[in-house]
Amino acid sequence: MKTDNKRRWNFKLTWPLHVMILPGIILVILFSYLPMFGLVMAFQDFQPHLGFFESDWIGFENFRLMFEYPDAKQVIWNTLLIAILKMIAHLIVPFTFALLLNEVRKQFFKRMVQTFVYLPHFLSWVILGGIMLDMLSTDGGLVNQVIGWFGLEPIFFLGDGDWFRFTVIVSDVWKDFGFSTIIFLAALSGVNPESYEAAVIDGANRWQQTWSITIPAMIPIAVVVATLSLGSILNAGFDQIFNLYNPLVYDKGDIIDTYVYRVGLIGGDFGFGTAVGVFKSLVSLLLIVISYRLAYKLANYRIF
Amino acid sequence: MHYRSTSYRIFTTANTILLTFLAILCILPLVHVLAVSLSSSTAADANLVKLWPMGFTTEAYKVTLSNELFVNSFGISVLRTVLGTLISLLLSVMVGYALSKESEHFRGRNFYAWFLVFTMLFSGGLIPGYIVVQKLGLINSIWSLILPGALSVYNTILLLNFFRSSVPKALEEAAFIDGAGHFRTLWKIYLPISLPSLATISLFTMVGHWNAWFDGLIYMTDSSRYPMSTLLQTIVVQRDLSSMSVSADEVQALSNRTVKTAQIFIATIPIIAVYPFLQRFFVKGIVLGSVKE
Amino acid sequence: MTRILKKRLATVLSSIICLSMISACSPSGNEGKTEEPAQQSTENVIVDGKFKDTVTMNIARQMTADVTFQKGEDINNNPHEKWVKDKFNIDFNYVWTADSSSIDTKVRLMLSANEELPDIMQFRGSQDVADALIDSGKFMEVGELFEQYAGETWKQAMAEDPSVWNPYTRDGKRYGVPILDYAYNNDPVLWIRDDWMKKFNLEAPKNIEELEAMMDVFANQDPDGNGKKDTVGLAVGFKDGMKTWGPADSGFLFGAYGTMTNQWNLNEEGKLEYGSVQPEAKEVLAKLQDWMKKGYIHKEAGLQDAGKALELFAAGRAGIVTSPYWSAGWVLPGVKEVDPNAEYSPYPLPAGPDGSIGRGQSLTSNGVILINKDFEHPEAFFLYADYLFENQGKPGSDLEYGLAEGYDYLMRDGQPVWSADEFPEDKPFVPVPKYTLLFDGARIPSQMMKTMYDLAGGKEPETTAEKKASTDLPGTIKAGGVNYEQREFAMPNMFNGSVTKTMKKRWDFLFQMEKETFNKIIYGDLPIDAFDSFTEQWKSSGGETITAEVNEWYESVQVK
Repeated sequence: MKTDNKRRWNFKLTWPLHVMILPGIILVILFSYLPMFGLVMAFQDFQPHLGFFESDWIGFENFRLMFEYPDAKQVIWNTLLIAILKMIAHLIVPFTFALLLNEVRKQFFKRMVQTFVYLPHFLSWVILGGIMLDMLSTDGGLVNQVIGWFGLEPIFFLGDGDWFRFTVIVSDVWKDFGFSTIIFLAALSGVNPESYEAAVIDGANRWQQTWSITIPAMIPIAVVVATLSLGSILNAGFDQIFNLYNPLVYDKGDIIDTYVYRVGLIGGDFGFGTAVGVFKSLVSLLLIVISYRLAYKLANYRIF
Repeated sequence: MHYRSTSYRIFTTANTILLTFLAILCILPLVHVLAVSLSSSTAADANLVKLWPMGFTTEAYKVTLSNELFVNSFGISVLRTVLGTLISLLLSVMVGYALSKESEHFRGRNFYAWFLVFTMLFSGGLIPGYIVVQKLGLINSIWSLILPGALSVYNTILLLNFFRSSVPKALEEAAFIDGAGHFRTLWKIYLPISLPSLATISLFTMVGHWNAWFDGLIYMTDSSRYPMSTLLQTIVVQRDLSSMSVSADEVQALSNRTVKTAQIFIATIPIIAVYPFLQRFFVKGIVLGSVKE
Repeated sequence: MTRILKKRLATVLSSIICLSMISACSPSGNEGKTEEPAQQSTENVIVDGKFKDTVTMNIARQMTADVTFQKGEDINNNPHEKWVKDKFNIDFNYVWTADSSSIDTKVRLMLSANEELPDIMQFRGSQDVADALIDSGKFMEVGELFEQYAGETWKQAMAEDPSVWNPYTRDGKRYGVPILDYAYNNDPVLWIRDDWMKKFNLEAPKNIEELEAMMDVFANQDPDGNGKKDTVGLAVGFKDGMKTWGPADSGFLFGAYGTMTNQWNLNEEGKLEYGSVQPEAKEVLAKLQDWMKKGYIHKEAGLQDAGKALELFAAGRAGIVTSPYWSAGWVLPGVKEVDPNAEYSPYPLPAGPDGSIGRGQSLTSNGVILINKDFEHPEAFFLYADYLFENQGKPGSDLEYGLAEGYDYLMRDGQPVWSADEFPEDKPFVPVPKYTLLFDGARIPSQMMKTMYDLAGGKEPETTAEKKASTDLPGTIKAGGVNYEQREFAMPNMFNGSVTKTMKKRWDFLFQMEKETFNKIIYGDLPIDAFDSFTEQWKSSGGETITAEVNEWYESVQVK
């Protein structure tokens, strides 16, 4: 069988594969690799009117500026903490939600829930930020009213540093879990219904079926999603934080991207922004390489 | 059967309650948006509207629908979404198929894969990207909104994983033995089996195109060429008002909440409408009658 | 195979580098543009205020959100554009436009791509980008042209505040024509709920002490009568700094103690100093901390920006707010939806313990016109703009009542009508002055508040400006009058130059620290003495250097 296979999968047969990949590669070269020339800005005091060639070269000055920022450590820590917690939540919640949805037998109800939870994804943080400010208000906000029913003190969700981080993570999940669930539902649709039937004949109960059929069907895609999300390990969600943070929570809520944005507003500093971008990309690349290798070594699975 | 067991019934009830609660929680913001859009502008600007309109009026919708720019931008959005999704889908399918082959069968595969993944992590940024598009003469062309991101590496990776897990090797080998080439195998075997995953990445691409606004802002030279999200962005954006050079007229014009929310609501309708349609593809597993494992 | 691939990769990479070199080096041709002004001849002269041959003016403009058109029209096709063609034989050709949120990015991109720049750049974005445009060396010195072509009205208007030139001045030369705006336009006045005052027999506060007494009543004695303790005295928003761009501002409190926060003030030694680090600011913070503790201000003030805080007043939850005169027509009326009996009026800002009053002064200039060095007829802009200054609202002029009949005014029985409600639905009122190259038409800085003041004092409207202003809401007029009465207390930000070197590196940190410290003090998370360590750190972390740089700049614009 093995040799048979080899014969059929010979090199001659692979030219169509190269052909298939070619258009994509050309586009990527044109629109991704060609512009990477601009990464030189990280080492320049880039001035738009001078361009890449006449702007001053300043070596690692931009990188130094990033780490010399008195709050740099705090900002990087905030970013990492928020991003990692979001990453985990974004994996667990949609995964669980897909499992729960999978147990719903009434198609109409299932579709309706699915559609409803998918909606917040389409509202921008500018809008949601305004709504959250009202909903989470300590002064008659919906959430604090509910908390009040249980006899608890109102919580200053957006004004207290630790609660702010919590709010940011929960609200981000709330916005996107419905959308992220789609991918797991797609994975579930690949499960052959016959395998459930076979399991039932073997006497497996619903929980055992979930454990032995449903979850394994979703694991590979979960691993892929997790790995790819490492690519944004230093993106804690600019739009969201930018719309929600305030002077009371700067110490716990300021992240790399909001910092870069503010510096940009003052000085329009492209060099600095690029330097931070390069730093973030390098960290992501490192993590992705590691997890790719791990998945391959441990599970013999190529993520991509 | 397990459906009848008591514990499963309890679970089902709890599950239904939980899901209903989540669904309500998620629809609240949109209900709020709708309520504001149907309120009087005084009430809306003073942020008095919660979940029910105050001083009910459909004025904002009349204004929005008679706004030529808005109607026009809607058309541009539809065009870019349809065109962009078709092209992206085609590219992702081809690249995903090729990359789903093992490296011992397809040499150069790993190089290609990393070559693509690298672009997910590193980007030259705004300025060089703009320069390339500008030098290619794509400014003001619909292609500037489609080509730069036409190959979504993320979607391609998802697709190649779906391909691997859902297409039975036996079926593929059978096709090869019958003398089918790669293109034929892709078309006849892979695509029909992969409808759910194709639906998924189509949805991702559509949503991506429908929501994308920044490219429109930088590649189009005036608002009559903006797609809808870009036009929306220009009115919804949180402007930096920390400087003193703020024009009061402009702030007031921008804070027209009823029109803003009406536009947001209209912009969301197509994307809501398309989802139930695509759900058909992955609500139920597809029975692969021809394959017995 | 791998070797071949590597070789190929090398070729690909080198071609990428080549390509990007070429693309970045070669100047671009933009197809959309006409290459040269239509007429090249130097003999194209102005006869009776009109060019003999058509002058095509390629314009790039910031399309502010307040520009609206009648059906079927746009910026390249509207009555103003036609009027300019008729009147001056100048053809306005808008080559590109961008909204206020994207103009900065757009300009930076065009500069980076070395794209052809327009003849006229109508810009109201950030100072940083204006600097980049001027530094590109592609725009001309305009000071002399201004002296040569501007008439008396325009020159006088410009002379009302000569500092408007500062941001565009390099080595004594002027590289941009500042666009004038109404002076004090966003300066705050004190708005108070009259019905609440009446209920408790209170009078408008003259000083901070009386203000405190009033806040105490409003916060604690249930002014809205709903039986709940859900009102505050004063609506303020601290999210973006103590001094806002206009509404829900707490700058007036700093003013009452003799400084102005978030800006550079001139001190007695003739030097510029940063308001937020002056000892007076400490007293203000102590006050605010006290107010927060007592519930005079909303406990979420730190989360609220100007607009959000203003909503408190509109929702009937706050009895006092400082906000510009135009608030009478925007957001504040919302309070009538909540409480139909709500009444509110504008009052003068209260004085501090030693009698000082102060408010942040909004800029007299908002935006700039830059003229391309290669533009054949720079005088065309001056001819046009000067005409607007000389004629807008002048009796007997074709622009007496507005810029286009049926657009920004109607004639009915020989009398002009400006109210938008009077316009037919299919041809609605549109703000034609906003189609001009001056963003809002010719605005003479002192005119607006003076007019409001006169009208508030009971003067019968005579001039067009007065008649037009008299159609405003009574609250607006009254507030404008109050604003004008207190104009001597307006404190301008004396620094309006380019961002300094150290500012670029340090300002973000300093300003974040300021906002954080101030808010934490107000919330009682930090003791008031934290202000002292804040000023120390402010100075040592770059503040001192910045102060020196700012003063250096100030001196440089003084020598003429």
